[in-house]
Amino acid sequence: MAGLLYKDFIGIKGRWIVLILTGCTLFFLILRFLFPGNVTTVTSMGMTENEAGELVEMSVGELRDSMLVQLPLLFMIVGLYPATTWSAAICRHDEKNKTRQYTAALPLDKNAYIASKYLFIGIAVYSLFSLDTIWIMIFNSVAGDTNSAECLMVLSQFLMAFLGLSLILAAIELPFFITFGVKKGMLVKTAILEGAAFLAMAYLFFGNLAIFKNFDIFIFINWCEEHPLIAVLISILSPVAELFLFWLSYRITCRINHNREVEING
Amino acid sequence: MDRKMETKRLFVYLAFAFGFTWIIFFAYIFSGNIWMADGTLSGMDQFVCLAMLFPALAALLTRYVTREGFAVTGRDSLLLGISFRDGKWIYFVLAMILPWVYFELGYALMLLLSPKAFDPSYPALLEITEQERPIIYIQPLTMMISGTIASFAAFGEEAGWRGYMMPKMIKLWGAKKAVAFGGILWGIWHWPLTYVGHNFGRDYVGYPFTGFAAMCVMCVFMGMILTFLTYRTGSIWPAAFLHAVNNSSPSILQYFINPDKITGWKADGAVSFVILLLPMMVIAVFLFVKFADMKVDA
Repeated sequence: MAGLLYKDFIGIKGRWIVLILTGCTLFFLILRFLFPGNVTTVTSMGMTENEAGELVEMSVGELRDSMLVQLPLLFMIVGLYPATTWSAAICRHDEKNKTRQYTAALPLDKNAYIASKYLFIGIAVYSLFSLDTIWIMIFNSVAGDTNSAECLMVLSQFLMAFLGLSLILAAIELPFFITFGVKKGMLVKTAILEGAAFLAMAYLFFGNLAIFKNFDIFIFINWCEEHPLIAVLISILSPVAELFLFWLSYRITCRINHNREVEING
Repeated sequence: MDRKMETKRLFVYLAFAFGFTWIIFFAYIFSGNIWMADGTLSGMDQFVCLAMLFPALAALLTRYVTREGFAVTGRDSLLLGISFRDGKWIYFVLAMILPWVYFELGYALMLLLSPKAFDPSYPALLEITEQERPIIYIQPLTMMISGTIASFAAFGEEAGWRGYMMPKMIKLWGAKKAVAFGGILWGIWHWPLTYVGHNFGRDYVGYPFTGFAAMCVMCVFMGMILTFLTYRTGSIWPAAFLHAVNNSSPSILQYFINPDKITGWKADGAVSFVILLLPMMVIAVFLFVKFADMKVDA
């Protein structure tokens, strides 16, 4: 199994990714300590809202925080992307090198190949989640008591649930990639995504757009503060549900591929 | 087994683990920080927790320097494999639930010794609103799930202490001595943080030396459970899960015990910590007896 996982790691150019992410972490660490957010000197660079809702001049710390908070926030959102790209990349790498036929000849468990794909994506999501938590900790280490810090703290509550979405995406596409190959799998994926985009556009044309009228991140933060139990339940139960779906997808893929291992040409 | 080489590797690991971490810990201390100075975990307190990753880094570096290789599973490996076969799954479940059991028992023991400390209005003093009150009753579940998923920091420690140091020590000195020495060393590793008030605060008799001793005692007993889990499963993951859940202190009773109402010797920070962890120590001894009976082969 370790060999199969290492092969997938090579398949996504893992060494480069590890080097880049380590470099980014060090860069962010240096940047954060060079530009701490707890500087209270007022600057004329911009305005912000205080607790009473009045517009006041930003402090240097607030300005720095509002810029540096983009990095962990961006990573939180972009973190969804690599996991879904990697599931295609590892299957494509195997098709290119005919790895699946090779592993079929090895004295491995029947489901070991499929399990390795799911395990790899699981480990990748766990690592991305851990890395983002580290970035949030770095940001908070010398952050000021600002809106940016509060916003990041509330959103980080949902980090597990949010990054877990990439598990759901992988749970949907991996059965197609493993069973039909990447080319056909991508067709199915594109069809699903286009269908979703079509539905979204239909909603934009004919749906009730009033619900977006007052959409604001601070409304969401206030809602979380007013409904703490629901917020906690969502943040802890959604990763469990996502993991369950991921496991279910694995079982289904194993069942579909039960007698098909030798037929695969991809 | 080349005892000289194994000893050398062990010392290289300890030098890396202590060196890296203590640089961070001392930088934290000398820049004037105190653990939970305003009653809550500050950003800097959380940041210093990242030093928990250094034992893992030390283990990897030692393996690189001493050319031991990076086998993922099996003998002399990183112990990263996960297997649920042969009933091993039970240890993973145990790792998640056990901290709740011993923390709840510990708080019950505290109440038994100081019944007057029971205070149903204590959540209000903790600024837990009526709306937030139900969260108290799902806190253990929350901590078990979030602790397990966000276990990377505890994984950092376990990959070093249980994944590298303990197998070496068990090879060299046998299980009993290894658990005792390993636990003491692990406790000493925490000393700079104990000094700034981590775990026991700073308001206890004999500060900081009784805190140092209590930390070592706690680490020896905790090490017994963690080593048992690692050897039973051949993996450091259950130990990482237990460590992470343990650090989240899952318990419902803790929200109804007012420490200001505990009087006398029981109110001392280090003593109350030992009382709290007494059930953990009993469980640790029970598991360690089982572990010592196993034919331990590193």
